[in-house]
Amino acid sequence: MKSRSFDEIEVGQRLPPLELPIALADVVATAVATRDFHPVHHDVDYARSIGHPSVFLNILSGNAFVERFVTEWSGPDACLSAVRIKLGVPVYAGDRLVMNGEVSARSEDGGRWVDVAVSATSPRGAHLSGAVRLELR
Amino acid sequence: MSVGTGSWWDRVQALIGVETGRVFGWDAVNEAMIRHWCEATGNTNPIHTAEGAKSSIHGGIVAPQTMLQVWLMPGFRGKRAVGSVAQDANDLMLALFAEGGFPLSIAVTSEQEYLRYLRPADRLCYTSKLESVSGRKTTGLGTGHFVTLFLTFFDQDDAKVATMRYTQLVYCPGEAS
Repeated sequence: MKSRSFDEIEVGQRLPPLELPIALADVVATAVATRDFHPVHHDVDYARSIGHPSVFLNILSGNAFVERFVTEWSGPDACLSAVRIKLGVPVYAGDRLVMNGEVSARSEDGGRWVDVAVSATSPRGAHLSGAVRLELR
Repeated sequence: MSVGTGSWWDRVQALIGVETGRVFGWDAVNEAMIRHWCEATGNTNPIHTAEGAKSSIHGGIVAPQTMLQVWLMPGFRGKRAVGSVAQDANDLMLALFAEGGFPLSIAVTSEQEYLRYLRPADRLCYTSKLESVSGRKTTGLGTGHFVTLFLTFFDQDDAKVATMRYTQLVYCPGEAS
């Protein structure tokens, strides 16, 4: 994993999209790895009983996929100082998630940092949008 | 603010801004939980493995920043770690909203700021407060309120390590207002 330097980054630069097929096992494995045992993330019958078509990814996993997506592009030397996300439609077991990102700000005011605007969409619509601040050398 | 149901709404208002005591995590930041999380989320950043992190800018393994909440989750039995207050601001709010006829909640936004990377042996706790509550809204899921909480995370030396602002829709499914 190569690290991108501050000088290599420009506003408007796009990140390579990340495709994530989310199987039932991914919904459950990420819920357990984030210690979130709410039944909407592992019990399909329960999720249906409250109006969902299946179990869905939890918010901690949304944050996790944002961190993975951005750091796969930035490399290991970039330090995350903020992650802000707004959730849209849930990602249900069986959905395919596609993440996109674009550098939205670049500054040397108070250290060298960039903001990356991110979005994740599934065939159901926008799952999340947000922004990540990365501190760079 | 719009409509509430009299005294219930007053009780909601009374909860705003009240900081609840500390909630501790069950486990110190540790390599095994980091590895499980990376495995489940497909994260291959070398700073999250002991071997890969040696030559990194961190000089040793660090936890992924977005694992922040994981260290403080109550877990499968829903019981908080020793020393924690019985109910944090979220528990108090959810109980009050369930009483008011809004038994379900779903996450809407999450804003986390990190002051440093966490390392194995760090022990976290947080304080929390209800920051704001919207008027009653009807959404595709049902009728409810948008509720925002603010959490401050501290380490074993009482140094602030992160903050989080978290908004949920707390609702009654399918009910038209």
